Amino acid sequence: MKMIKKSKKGILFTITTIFLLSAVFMLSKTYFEYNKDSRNTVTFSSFGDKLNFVEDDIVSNIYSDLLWLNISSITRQNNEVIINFLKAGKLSPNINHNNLFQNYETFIEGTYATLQNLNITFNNFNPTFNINPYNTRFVYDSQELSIYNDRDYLKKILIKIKANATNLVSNTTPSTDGHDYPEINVIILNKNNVIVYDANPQQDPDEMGIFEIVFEDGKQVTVSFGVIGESPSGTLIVDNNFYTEITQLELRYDEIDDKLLFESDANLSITSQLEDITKATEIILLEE
Amino acid sequence: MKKKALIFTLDAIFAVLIATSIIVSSYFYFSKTDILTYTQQDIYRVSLDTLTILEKSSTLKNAVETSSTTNINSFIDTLPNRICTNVTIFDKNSNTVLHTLKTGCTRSLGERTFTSRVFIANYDVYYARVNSWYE
Repeated sequence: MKMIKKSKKGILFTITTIFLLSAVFMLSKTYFEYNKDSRNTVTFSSFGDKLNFVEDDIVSNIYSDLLWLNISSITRQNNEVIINFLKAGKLSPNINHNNLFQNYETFIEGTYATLQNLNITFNNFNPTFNINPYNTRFVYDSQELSIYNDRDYLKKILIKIKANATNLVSNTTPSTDGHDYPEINVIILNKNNVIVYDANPQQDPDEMGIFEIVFEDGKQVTVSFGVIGESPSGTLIVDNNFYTEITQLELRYDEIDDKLLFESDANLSITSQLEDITKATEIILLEE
Repeated sequence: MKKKALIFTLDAIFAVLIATSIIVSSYFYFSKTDILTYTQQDIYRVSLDTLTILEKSSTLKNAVETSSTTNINSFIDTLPNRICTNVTIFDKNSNTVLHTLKTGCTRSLGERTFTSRVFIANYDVYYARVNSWYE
């Protein structure tokens, strides 16, 4: 009888012990999981922050900084869309836009990627961008800016160029034929901000018209509009042999309901081998 | 019977002591690690924000173009008292161009965070590094 009582006590003791130990084990496991989860949350949220920071750092304002751009306003009025730049680029034989972009790409893919412990790759990072849905394309190349337009929508281009020169020597303006073409207005300022040339002729976008402004020492600004070489109709090219700044550019189009998108050809890929995450981005200059 | 009870009591006391010491040391270990992790996160975020503001407000660009850290100091001096920061600007070849430290801070050898941000000045590539720590 005593033996049976003792063995019953033993079983009860064993069961209670197992029960208590499992409770302790469960508690420890829960604590461990909680701790692991909170660590992961912190790590991933901070890593997400880091990727966003790096992307913003590389991409934001880079076209504005490298090309000297300031898109000051987009206005929709009277069935027209008006885009106004207060800075639209610096042109000079001493500025190599392709080199500026190449230097930035080399730095980001090399030193900067090492600093951030990431793999960073650019594709098609070059000094060009497009305004869609109007199919207007900007190409910067040292002393030359080409703006390729879709003449179906184009209503007006106003370009104001500040020249690093003082005295106007001569100028040529294309003749007007009285047709209702897209309006072209070329304004040239000297280095003292005085307007020395202001022409606004009717200009056929299917023909080539040349505005030529010559300053002292053979310094020359040439603005061509129309079909230039094999360019599409309504192309505008600014070319000069000295330093100039485009201090205003106004583009006027027939209104389309689609929102405007200033987009580059470039895209960016950021990869963390440590976290096995890749973030790919198209570089957008501005979205309406 | 009395001997058995004594051994049983001693055994129980030892068990309670060992369990308590394990629980207390675990608590201190885990809580210390957590505080450290969150502290670093806080100061890391402060560094990211500091650099972003300095870059987006063109303060870094202007500092390079004028060779002056006055405006950088004006900003970092407004950070909370306990947070210390220094800002160093490098050119694309990692040569130091400018360096400044928050007023009233001394260099720390303790926990700190580093963040870097790239920017363009004078048509060239530069980067700034912010190093932050708790005083």
